[in-house]
Amino acid sequence: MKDEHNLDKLFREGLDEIDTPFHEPDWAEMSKKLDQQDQKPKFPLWWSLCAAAAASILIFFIFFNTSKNNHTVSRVEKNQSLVSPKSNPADTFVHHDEEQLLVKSQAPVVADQHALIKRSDSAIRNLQPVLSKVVIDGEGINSVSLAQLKTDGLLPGALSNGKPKPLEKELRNSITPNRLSLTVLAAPDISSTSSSVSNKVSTNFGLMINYALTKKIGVSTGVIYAKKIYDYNGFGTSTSGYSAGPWQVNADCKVLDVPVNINYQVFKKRSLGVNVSAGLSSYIMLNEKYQLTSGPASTVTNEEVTGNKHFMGIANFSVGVERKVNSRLSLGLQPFLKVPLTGIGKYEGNLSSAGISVLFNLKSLSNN
Amino acid sequence: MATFCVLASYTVYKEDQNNSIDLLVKEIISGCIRKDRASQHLLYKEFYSYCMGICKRYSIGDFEAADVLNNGFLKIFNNIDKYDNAKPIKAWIGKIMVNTAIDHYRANLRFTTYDDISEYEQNGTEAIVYEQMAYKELLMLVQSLSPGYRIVFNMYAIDGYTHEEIAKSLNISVGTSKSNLFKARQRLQEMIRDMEPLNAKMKVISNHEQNISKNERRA
Repeated sequence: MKDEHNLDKLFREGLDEIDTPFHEPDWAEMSKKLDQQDQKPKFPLWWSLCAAAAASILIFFIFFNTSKNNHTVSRVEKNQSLVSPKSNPADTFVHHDEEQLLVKSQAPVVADQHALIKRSDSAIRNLQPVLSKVVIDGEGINSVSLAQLKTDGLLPGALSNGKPKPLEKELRNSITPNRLSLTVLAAPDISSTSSSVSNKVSTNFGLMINYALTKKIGVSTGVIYAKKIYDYNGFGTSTSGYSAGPWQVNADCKVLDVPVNINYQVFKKRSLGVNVSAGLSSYIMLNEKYQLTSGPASTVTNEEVTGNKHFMGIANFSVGVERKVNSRLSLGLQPFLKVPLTGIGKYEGNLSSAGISVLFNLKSLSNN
Repeated sequence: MATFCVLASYTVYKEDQNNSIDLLVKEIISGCIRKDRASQHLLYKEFYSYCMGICKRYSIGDFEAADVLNNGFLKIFNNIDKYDNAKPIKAWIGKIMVNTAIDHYRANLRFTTYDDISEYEQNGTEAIVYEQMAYKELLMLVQSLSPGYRIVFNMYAIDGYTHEEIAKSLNISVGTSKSNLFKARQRLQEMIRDMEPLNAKMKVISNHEQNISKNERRA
């Protein structure tokens, strides 16, 4: 038995660590193998970005379609909110009257909205004394727009003649507000850490979806592709050995920023609006490249890491000014600040970014 | 507590010593993660000899070894992002190579009909350089084993697998693994005994060289 173990040992030691000369043709074969593999379709970074963009656009259009199909329903809801005891000036009542009539005549169409409509009916009854005062002007009707409304299924045939002109406009305004909008943004920013050596400008591109909860408050989310270039330095953590002496890290990171923000409209006048927003961002680090200069001889080391994620690890703050170009498109400028709540990337850098977004805001098409 | 401190400072010392090599390898690895072909070439070159050493003893000759080697490196390059850089890269690469060799054995098992004796003679025709004789001979002996014996002997005697692990990865019984190991050792001993007279002369002239000299005489 001992002899057998000696045999194992003989081979284990004798076959260990032999210097086989490098045979270049083997690498040529290997290279070929790698080439063949590379030709196979893969899903690189770029594809995932495109997929994300396509998905957001798809979601946007799905929402847009449903909002169009639900016109009548959402309008009924809208009416509900309008019939509040607080709104009492006479012209508002005129408006209500118009709306309520509409709702009433549409009752058979919106069969599944019984409850809402019943409540609307009772609201009408309550408004009866006021309604009697309302003068309906049947002249000068804009037949084109009414015809359009009719084809949209918004205006029943019974109402097609004899509707007052001044109310027409209001009626149109009361149709579903554009709750959804799509924002395309590009933003230069400066990413820095607490011990930055110099500041470099990085770029961001993104696609955001905004949903208005009320007239003033909205939520937005999306995907922003960001390239963050930053550096930071420090002094050695020990007095001797490798980690002594100053060090510097130059970082070049590609990040997918997924923000969830709440927006509040502070001010709106004509085509100009000002809003503030705050929220949290999750960073998906696609690729982190670090160049570490350290050690007694200022050795430069390159390092690359992928796959770090920081879920809700960054706080966002921004103030935006928006200007309407037409009913659908508005342009905006939005200075922003991103403050980390956790360390970002492999070296847990205290990475914050400040910049200004240039944004194109596209509203959904539902008010045609 | 004192022991801990000593251990800790020893680790730091060791780290300092290995840092320059580690940093170079780390740089190469990060290049490989980027799928940078030049870095892949460097890694390939760096570990070629070590991996070839593993592949050769698991296979029948250089061609098969090179085939296994490249399949192993393909796995290495495709999974290098999963490599935990706290552990030594060499051990990680070695493990992948051995696994690739085992996979190769399993994949080719049903097609192979090796004849021990003819293989032995075939390998014997290779030129033997005196300085590398010990290695060459040992390798030749291992390569001349039948595939079933060779893989068990490699895994157990050289790579330190247990019979249970061997049985599991080759899908054989523990008994078969033990019996293959026993027979492999028996076979190797026989072959070493046969070679003794040659070794005693301290110089081995291969058949190949003999042939050349014969040809020269004829000419």
